[in-house]
Amino acid sequence: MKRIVLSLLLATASASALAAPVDCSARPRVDPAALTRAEAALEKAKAQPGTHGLALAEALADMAGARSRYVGKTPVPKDSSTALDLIARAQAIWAAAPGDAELATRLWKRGRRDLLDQHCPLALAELQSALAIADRSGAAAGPLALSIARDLAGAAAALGDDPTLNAAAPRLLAALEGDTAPLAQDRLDAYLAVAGYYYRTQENARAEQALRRLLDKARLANPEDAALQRRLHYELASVLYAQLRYKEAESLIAPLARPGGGGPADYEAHKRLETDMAARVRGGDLAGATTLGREALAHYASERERVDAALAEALAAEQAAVAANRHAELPAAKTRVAQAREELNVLVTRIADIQGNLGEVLHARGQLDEALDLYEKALGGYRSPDATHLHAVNRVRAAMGILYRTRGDYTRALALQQQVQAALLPYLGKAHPDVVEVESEVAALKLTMQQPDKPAPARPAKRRK
Amino acid sequence: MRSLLLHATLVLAALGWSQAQAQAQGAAQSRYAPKFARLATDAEVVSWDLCPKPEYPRSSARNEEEGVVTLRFIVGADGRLLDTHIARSSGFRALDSAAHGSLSKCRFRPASINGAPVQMPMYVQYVWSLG
Repeated sequence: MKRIVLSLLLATASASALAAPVDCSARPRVDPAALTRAEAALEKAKAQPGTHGLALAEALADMAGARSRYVGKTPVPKDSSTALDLIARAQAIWAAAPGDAELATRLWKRGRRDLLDQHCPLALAELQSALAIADRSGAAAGPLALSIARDLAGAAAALGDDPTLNAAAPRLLAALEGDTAPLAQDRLDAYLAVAGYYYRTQENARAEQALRRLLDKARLANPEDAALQRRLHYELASVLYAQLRYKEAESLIAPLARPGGGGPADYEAHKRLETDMAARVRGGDLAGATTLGREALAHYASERERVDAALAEALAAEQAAVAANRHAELPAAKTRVAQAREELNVLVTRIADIQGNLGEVLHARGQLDEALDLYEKALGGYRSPDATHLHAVNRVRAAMGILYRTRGDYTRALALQQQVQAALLPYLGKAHPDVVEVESEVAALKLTMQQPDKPAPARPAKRRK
Repeated sequence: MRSLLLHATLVLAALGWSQAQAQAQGAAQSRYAPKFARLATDAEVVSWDLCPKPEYPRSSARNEEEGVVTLRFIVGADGRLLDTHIARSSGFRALDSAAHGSLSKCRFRPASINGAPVQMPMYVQYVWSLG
């Protein structure tokens, strides 16, 4: 009885010790004397082995801790045992020890100390041994075993040790259901580790169960902790996304969304313009969308003149500095050139966006010549068609393919659609609506051309002027 | 003769019907629906609060390595990472690897088109600067 009370007291006392999330980025702590002390203790333990060699095991663990903390000038001999070798030897002794709550508590405390010292591999070994001994004492679901299991889960998660989490997670998930204690940091870490483990292993129902329970606990016990509830909502949303419950996830995080508009003003204005054009198209106001698109292109054309002039000026200043050997001015001149080039790149991409969008609107209105002209200009504006602009470029190409089909130019249409298919499939997958659509276009074009097996040219032929 | 006339009338009627159908098909084909106007969202990190903060690699800090790394992630319709790739290196393997390792542990919100989740690549830039 006394032992159980002792364990409970220790459990309470140590709960507050780990107030911060587990951090395993080992930082060496200088304590050269610890090595000397540990060596002496190990020699003593070897000479006088105690019951089950437990004294030796603890001396080995002390030595492991001292070794991992040692940052003395004299290097540890390479052939000497490493900290992990030493703790493994200690673990082997503890594995043979009978169930004993007091020993389990001692090892638990040792493990927590090593966690605080950020020696996670040692802590993990000690906590594993502590848990096994606590289990053998016949109280696998008791508070001591659960406290140890929680710390073990926290350490395992910090180390990315999924096998250990696999063993601890079912016990902790069951414990979470009945856990009425406040959600202190160490408890939260452990239960989040369990939920994270189930998410990674795609056991989404269990991950969801853990997170919903944690949310209930957080609402009851930590109602003021908005950051915690926010975090749990996001975690739960990612589990719902993983189950393809997209709408549920969206409704969960919608109230948490921070107001947009955090970007630079010109970027936000461009986004707003695209949104307005799209809204008009969805509302059937193609004429309104056309007006917006034309106004935007006119505005961007004048911007382009300004940016081109700024770049020319910056280049001239750089060349003048080089010619006059004004080396001190050169870094600033180069920076101005780089900034002007960057501004030009951004602007050219924005112009391409609007050209593509306006092209689509005119396409929908049947103004095919102008639409085609805009499509071609847009394609010329995207600087990285295989990377960041991949989707935009292939949207325009697919639209061009449809336009050519409408005109009866099936060869050119097929070549474009096959190009789009080859570009999008690896990134978007077979189920993406754009891939489904392009595959159907390709099939329909082949059927129309009565040449289902004829390989298409790798690139579309250039448009005749 | 009467039967021949009747037959000819039926053929003409059939021709007229098929022409009308072809015109209707052509009209349907020319009705293009602009894709940019779809309700669409890009894939993104669910919350940066859930991403482990990338630590400056010690060796990189020691060697004063700085740079920008661009990462490409393919986010599945279920928000899980399907593929990760360093699209543009910082020039330093340790910085690239640290950025990649950190972002791989984030949770993602899938892209969507008209309210349905879809697979989509996303690009993220990490700027490593000691300043």
